[in-house]
Amino acid sequence: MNSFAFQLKNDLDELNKLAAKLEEIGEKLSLPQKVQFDVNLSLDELITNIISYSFKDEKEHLIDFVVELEDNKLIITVTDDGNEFDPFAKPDPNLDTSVEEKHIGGLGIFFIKQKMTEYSYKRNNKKNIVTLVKKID
Amino acid sequence: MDIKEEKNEKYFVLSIVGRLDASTAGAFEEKLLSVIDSGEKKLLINFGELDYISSSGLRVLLVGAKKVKALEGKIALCDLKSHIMEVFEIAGFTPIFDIYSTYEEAINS
Repeated sequence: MNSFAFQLKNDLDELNKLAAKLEEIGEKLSLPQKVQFDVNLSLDELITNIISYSFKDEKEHLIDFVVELEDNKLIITVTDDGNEFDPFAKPDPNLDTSVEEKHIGGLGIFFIKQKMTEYSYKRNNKKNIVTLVKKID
Repeated sequence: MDIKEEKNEKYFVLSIVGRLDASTAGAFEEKLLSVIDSGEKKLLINFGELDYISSSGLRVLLVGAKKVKALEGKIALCDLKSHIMEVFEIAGFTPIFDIYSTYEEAINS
């Protein structure tokens, strides 16, 4: 059984639960620590963005996660029912600036782009669907 | 996340323990800014017991760095685990801070 599904609420306190879930999955799949950290960071940044930008109604929502291992690829699908929000649409941050000019905006999504092998977004049936792929060496 | 603090002859030291993410960054920001507001402008953040950092944690460090720079102070960091150091490198944050491999090196530099 190389497929795992779980749900998190649109609440930043769920980040702890995300870490615990990924640790559990990482153990079952014997994932290297580095891969586990990269996946945790990417999903953390993704859901922090989803919680901040996708849900405007202040109601409770559930975000669905599916993690699958296929050969040497970890495929992660994240689905939410919030407003249309493509996290990868924003330009990457300018990293070559001084302390005074540095901004943090867009850095989280930039981490996902750096850490994952592939990333994509689609809108389908009023849902946002993000797929991340991490190749395991 | 927990924060331990101590003062030595060189730095005011904050040691962060656990995970620094969007759910814990607020508490760290409050602590860091209160230390700077109390007049400390040479700070050392000890990462030895920090297991995880996200962009929310980096944001707080940037806020602190901007604030102490205006006061002609500085923030040094020490004992970053390799996966945490990599996050600083990807973000282009390494030039902002004095980064030491160990606590002892930071104190004796």
